[in-house]
Amino acid sequence: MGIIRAKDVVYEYIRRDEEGNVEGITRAVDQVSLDVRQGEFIAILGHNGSGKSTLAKHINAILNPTEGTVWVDGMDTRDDTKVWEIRQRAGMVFQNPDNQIIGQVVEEDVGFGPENMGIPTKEIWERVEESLKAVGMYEFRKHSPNKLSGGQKQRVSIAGVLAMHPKCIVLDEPTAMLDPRGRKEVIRAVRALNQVEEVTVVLITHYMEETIHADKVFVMDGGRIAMEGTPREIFSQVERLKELRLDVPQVTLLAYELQNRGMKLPRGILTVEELADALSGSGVR
Amino acid sequence: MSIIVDHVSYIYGADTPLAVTALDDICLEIPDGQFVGIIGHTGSGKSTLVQHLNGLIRATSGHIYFNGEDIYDSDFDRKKLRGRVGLVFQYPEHQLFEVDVFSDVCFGPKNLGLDRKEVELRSYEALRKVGLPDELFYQSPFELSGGQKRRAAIAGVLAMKPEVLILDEPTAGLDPKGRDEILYQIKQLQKESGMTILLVSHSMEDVAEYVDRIIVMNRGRILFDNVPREVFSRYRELEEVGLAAPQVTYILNELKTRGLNVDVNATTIGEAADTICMAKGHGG
Repeated sequence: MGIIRAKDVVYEYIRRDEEGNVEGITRAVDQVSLDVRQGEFIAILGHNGSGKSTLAKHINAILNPTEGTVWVDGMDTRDDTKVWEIRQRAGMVFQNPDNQIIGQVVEEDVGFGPENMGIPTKEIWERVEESLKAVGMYEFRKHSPNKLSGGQKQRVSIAGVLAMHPKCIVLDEPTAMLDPRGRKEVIRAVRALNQVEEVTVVLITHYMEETIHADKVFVMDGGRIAMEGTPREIFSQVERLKELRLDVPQVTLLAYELQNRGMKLPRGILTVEELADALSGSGVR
Repeated sequence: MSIIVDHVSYIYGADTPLAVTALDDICLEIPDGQFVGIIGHTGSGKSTLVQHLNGLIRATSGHIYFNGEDIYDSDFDRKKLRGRVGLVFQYPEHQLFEVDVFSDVCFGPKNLGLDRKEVELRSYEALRKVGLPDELFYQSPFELSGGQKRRAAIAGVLAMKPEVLILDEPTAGLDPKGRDEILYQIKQLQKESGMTILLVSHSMEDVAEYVDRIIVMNRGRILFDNVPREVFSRYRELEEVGLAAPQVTYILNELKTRGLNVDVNATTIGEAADTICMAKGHGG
């Protein structure tokens, strides 16, 4: 059984008007089933309002399913006695770093999680050190978070989750507010966690090129999983993605445009190297 | 008629030990009807610069001329300036507050002291311009999707009929389609009504696709000010200051190193496809 498993999950919420009268019911997640194995890198794509964030919030028991079940490391997320354990196994990083950082000094902020778990002081400091090293922020440990760039703050948030020794980390658009360097730093740190520390990663994003290294991509639409496959399988379906209000990485789009103009290229090109290889091969005309 | 920024510097906390220079001797001229992209890493001074243009922040030194008039002159009407230079902040949907979308859009022009009919006409027109469908006009703004909220907020600024529209990262957090729709509509505004547009963005691909000119900010100074193809040809220097070029720039440079005779300065997918077809001798 996988680290995260969802079976027929439905999440509905009731809309009310100003007097509190029920106006209707919205089904934000509709019959979603998925199984994520320990150590996998999963990306979730989908337009605004497609249900990705709502689904993600089920993974650390911020939300509970209306129907169906979510298990994190074998624990049912509706089990109240397991909530803290679940949140420790599956950490979450949100879009805006300024809403997540509370410490006055970087290392204090990272230590906040393990401190709340009642970890002995000596071990807290060991965890803080290793977490900051894992995201490449150790040299900033004595700095004030206020003086860091967006990408650096976001990496501190990730270290804060990491210090709780989670098996899984869920990142909900962690790069939406960052400049290109910040985005690159965060994605590099996330990939390192996955590959070196073997933490399971669930990455939600609107930047298609951030998902090309994922093991699996899920595309959501109307609360359901509309597409599922490897990045290459997903991004070779340019038209389908456009229908779902999404896009493909620029390099994939360029290859697609060249194919439309009659050039023979492999489908689902994902990186600059792949396209350059395909184009510098003498066979292509 | 234009905006002229003349040796403007701005220091946060001037005369305190915490003084930080956010803008350092900025000079630029923005002619009417231009679509300008402003890029720069977080903290480079982009937002500080645009907030000077409608008088929200007052320069520590230097002058700003709007249509030839110094906005710091004692008899210059700065309140009116805010109607003429519309500023859409980051995450403008956080500023929606009215009971329905239409009233929210009316708020700006109402405060300009216009009569009710004019206010409603302008609001209707603004909502049409941003492509928000009629059936949403009387819904609560809080029930709209992310992209729709953002468009409602932009309409609120458009209803004041600004001559210059400044948008600070208008597409952050939107899905790709929403991103394209908003940028397309902004481009239409420029084309149809000749509005001057300043777009602050972190997305190099968006900037490459839509703007006529790019201003690159770094540490409170202007690093480059040129057309997109010229700016992105300096991609190594852009990377040094925390930015990047669009992915096509990297593809074309890689192809060039591998001996394919492509124009490395193409910045959009269409241009890149053209030059690759040409280099491969493909009839396309």
